[in-house]
Amino acid sequence: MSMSTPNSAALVIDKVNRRFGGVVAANALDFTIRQGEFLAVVGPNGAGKSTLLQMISGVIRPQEGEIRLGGRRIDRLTPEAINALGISRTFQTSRVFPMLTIRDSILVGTQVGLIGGGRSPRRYGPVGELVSALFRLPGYRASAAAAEARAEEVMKMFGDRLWPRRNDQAFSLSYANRRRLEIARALVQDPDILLLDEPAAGMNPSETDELTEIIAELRRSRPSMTIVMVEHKLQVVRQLAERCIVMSQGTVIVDDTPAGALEDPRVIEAYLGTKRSAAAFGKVNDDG
Amino acid sequence: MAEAPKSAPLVSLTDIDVFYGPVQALFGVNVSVMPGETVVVLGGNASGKSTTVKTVLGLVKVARGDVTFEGQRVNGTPAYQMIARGLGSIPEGRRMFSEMTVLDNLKLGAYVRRGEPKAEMDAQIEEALAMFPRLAERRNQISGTMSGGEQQMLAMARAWMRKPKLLCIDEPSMGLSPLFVDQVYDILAKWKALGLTILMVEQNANMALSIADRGYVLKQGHVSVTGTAAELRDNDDVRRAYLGG
Amino acid sequence: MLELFLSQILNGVVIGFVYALIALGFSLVFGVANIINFAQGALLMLGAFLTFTMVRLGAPIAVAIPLAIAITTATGMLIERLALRPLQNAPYIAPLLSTLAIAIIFDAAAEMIWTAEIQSFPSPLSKYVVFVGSAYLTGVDFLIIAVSLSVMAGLMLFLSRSWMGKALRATAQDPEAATQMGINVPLMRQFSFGLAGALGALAGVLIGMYYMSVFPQMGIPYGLKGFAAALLGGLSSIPGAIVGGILLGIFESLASGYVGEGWRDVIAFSVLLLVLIVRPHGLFGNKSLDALGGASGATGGIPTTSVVASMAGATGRTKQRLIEAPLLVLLGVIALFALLPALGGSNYLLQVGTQAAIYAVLAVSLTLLTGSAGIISIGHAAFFGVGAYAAALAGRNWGIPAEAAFLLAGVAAAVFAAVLYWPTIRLSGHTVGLATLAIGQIVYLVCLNWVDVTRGPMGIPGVQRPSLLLGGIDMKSLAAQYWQALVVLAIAVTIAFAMLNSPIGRTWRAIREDRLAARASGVPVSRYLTLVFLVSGFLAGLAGAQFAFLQNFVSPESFMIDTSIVLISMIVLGGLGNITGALVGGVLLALLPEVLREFAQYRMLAYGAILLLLLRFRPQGLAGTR
Repeated sequence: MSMSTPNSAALVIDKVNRRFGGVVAANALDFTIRQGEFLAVVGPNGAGKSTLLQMISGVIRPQEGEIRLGGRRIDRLTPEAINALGISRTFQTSRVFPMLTIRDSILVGTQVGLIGGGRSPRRYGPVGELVSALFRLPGYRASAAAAEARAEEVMKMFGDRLWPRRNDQAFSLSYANRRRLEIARALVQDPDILLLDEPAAGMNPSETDELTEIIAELRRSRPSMTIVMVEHKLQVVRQLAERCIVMSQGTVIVDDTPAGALEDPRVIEAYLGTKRSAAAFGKVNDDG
Repeated sequence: MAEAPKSAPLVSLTDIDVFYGPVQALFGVNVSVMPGETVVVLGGNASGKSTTVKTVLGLVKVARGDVTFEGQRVNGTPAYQMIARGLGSIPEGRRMFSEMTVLDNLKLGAYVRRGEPKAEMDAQIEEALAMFPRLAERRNQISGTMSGGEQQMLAMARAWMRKPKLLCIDEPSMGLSPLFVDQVYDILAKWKALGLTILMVEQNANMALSIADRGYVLKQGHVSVTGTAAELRDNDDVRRAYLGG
Repeated sequence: MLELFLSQILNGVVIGFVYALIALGFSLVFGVANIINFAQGALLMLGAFLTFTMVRLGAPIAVAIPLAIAITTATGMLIERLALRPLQNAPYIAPLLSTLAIAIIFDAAAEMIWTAEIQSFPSPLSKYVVFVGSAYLTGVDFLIIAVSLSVMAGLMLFLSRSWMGKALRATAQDPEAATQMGINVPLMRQFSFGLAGALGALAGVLIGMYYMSVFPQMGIPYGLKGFAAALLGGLSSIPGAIVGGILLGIFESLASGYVGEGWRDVIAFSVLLLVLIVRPHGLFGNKSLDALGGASGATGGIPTTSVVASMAGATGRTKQRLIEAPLLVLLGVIALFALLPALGGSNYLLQVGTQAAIYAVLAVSLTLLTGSAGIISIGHAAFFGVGAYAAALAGRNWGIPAEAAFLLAGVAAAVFAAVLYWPTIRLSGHTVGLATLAIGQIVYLVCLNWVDVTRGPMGIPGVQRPSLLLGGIDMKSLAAQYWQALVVLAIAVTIAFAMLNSPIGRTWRAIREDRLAARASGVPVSRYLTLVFLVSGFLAGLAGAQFAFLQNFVSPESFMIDTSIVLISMIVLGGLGNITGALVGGVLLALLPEVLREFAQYRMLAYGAILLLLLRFRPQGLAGTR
């Protein structure tokens, strides 16, 4: 649907390299993510998928090449500067704020908006915010209340998973709930680009289905939001994504629709092993 | 397990529960490895397969159940003592001593045998290097500067230096090119032929099942399927564990 | 002119070798046990004093030195076993503060055993002198160079050739992999403490011989110099430590030659700070390999940068009970205390009450910074001092009325805090502790040595008390000072409360809990840390001014590291990030020396012990960490 929209806010990965010591995590990565696209990135462990998200979000810098958003180079920016451009993310190993409650954790995502980043109308300097918070000035209180309302709305997107637990501390949550919390913290920012790193990891089939439905609903309500999702559960990819990139050893080996990519013998091979090994079984594995 | 071999298991996990903080990672897991066997634990991300091997190695705390090694209960034995008792480990992500040379890494592999004569040690280093020609060319290279495939070779050679009774391997093919995956499995097949007992965790199910005798499939911390390698090859659960069917 | 220069360089090189020895001990522990060992200096002092005592008891110095080194080695290993190993799953702040507590206990014990005086140290070789042009070297200088070089060569061989040495290096590079090679990692940690003890004791003896004297408080400055040398040289390499040590030795030797002996340590600690600022990451290796991990997606603990969270992430953490009184209750209690003069409280009681209120303000101020924002501050006395001096100088030198001086003190301390702590914004965890300790020492030393302004150790007498706005009441009485202190406390509590319960306080806690996640969520970390420096500094400055008014006098000794450590003990006792806790901890520990008056000389010992026991048995404090 949005594949044909003008690519004003396209995210361009331009010949990006990244090594860790002698280990190559990104090897001449070169592709464009169009605005409004839902891109899935799949591939076996160690293929460099997470490194890709780390580089887009500014946590890791590429050693060579550039990353551009809407023509602007972003690969030298800090994570907070990149976030301010409308890119929100979750982490592969959920990074919640362990001692903060669910509610507070999600509200952290609203902070940048509260002080005037992103789309918010009002702008506070450090001293202005200090004074406003100290004397509980009405404008600041109104912004804070709006942020709370937004947080409530996002928590309720996850049914009764987060909202009834809003005063629980994050460390007491299950893996699945930590993942939901992270996604909620990203969504509360209403980003232009959402980076999801294995959102369904650690979830059982019904939880996975539930999450898939939430993301699908999000897709319907915010079609202009670009989503880049690293995910191992291929049925999630199949149900959600419009485009699928398969990575192996830091390079893209397949770039296709999910149906096309996941039927590709190279993908089966990357996940389940090489043809040689299949031959070692004495018979060729069908990939139906 | 289907066909019980005559001898007693070298290692066995019985009704194991493991927790990470408030979250349970293993639920009543039963796994055993007979002497001389190659056993593979399969499963998707976060299925508990790595935790299973870590339990054998003594790297995680067992909340319930028994771990036995050579017939003795070893619950709570710290990992370094398990290694001294005869375990060898090729850890996930290779875990080089990345500022040390290839040779120093190999020597540290034989740390628990440090009392043995130096000549014997040197001979075994040469033997290990002969097994991995790529390493022989790089014996004085700092290990962190090598490629992922070379590091995997070194991790294997380092574990071989231990002369383990049971070798624990966590994801040996992770992030490797097919060429290196083939080399890894060539070596593992050779070790198996030499009678080494192996317990491995692997994502590359086709490869692992090509050398394994038996396997377990883990799903959300439970053993969902177990059987011989031949049985698992035909099992849809295995495919589903990875491809999320 | 050239002679002076040459001889300062020579002096610097010689003492630099000693710094290199301390630096090696620091690097070993930092590498292997992943901790900054603040007790390193205490071990140095112990080694020196053990030698001193044995020689005084008649032992030949050649026997006394090895024996002292052996005992210090054992002590180092014991410290690891008793004060650190039990803290493996404790909050991240615990091991850091634990070594600090040990340092304080050793200092205090040494003062009791050997008095606080400087003792003359046997230095038989100092009578041999060799002239190099017009500069000269003594036998001690040659001994230092020879001993240091041979110890370093030995250490290098040990680390590269022996099994033990290789195991130590392996543990430093990857403890998890080391475990899987069969290396007993806890033993290696303990061993690194032992080695650091041996190196420290040797350095202590050499320092004693060099200056021909030792004193119980020598631990912290020399420990800090060792850290500085290690960081300067780039950690973890023996040649680096030598280069770092010698460079540091030369810098401070030139400083003492050309600026004045008193500035020697200021230069040394400034170097430490400068290195931390300029190269904070390059020094500590590249940890971004984490990004490659694949299967760990949903297993293991929660990653966190929090100093109050357990290092093992979520593992073993249970819900704690958090006690937090509402603002009105806190203000009500303060108001009740205001009745004390009316109930006929004696001057002594009012004096103690005012002190307690001042400490409570400081504890509130520190708990914002360390508890909520997670910036471990071991130099908080600096802002207290800046406030006190600002208030004192404002009246005395600049003719500013005392009322305005109050505000000025707060603002000055706030600005100082923001400027001085700004460099620590990029640092985290234990490194911040190191930087703030250095800042605390620098401010103290500047107060001590900038005689033109501060009158140095003589202090500033005759500080005028404000008469304030309360028309009829004479604010110069002790009761008035007491009320004034309570008003300052009420203001501090109100400000802190407003902050912590606003989005700002939430953001501070988020930065503490996981700085990377906060940044990825768009939080401008430096802005919020600057805010916490400003607020915390402002409150500490008010406390400083109140202190100056109460005493009518300020002098540097009120703002030594001891004060900073008492403050940390207070907030750990109360519960980090918790205002109720800070008030409870602040008042309790401020009253402690008054309650146990006959044991007043054991004061610092008690604070150290309380801190150590709390960290071990109740790291969440009395009221719970927020």
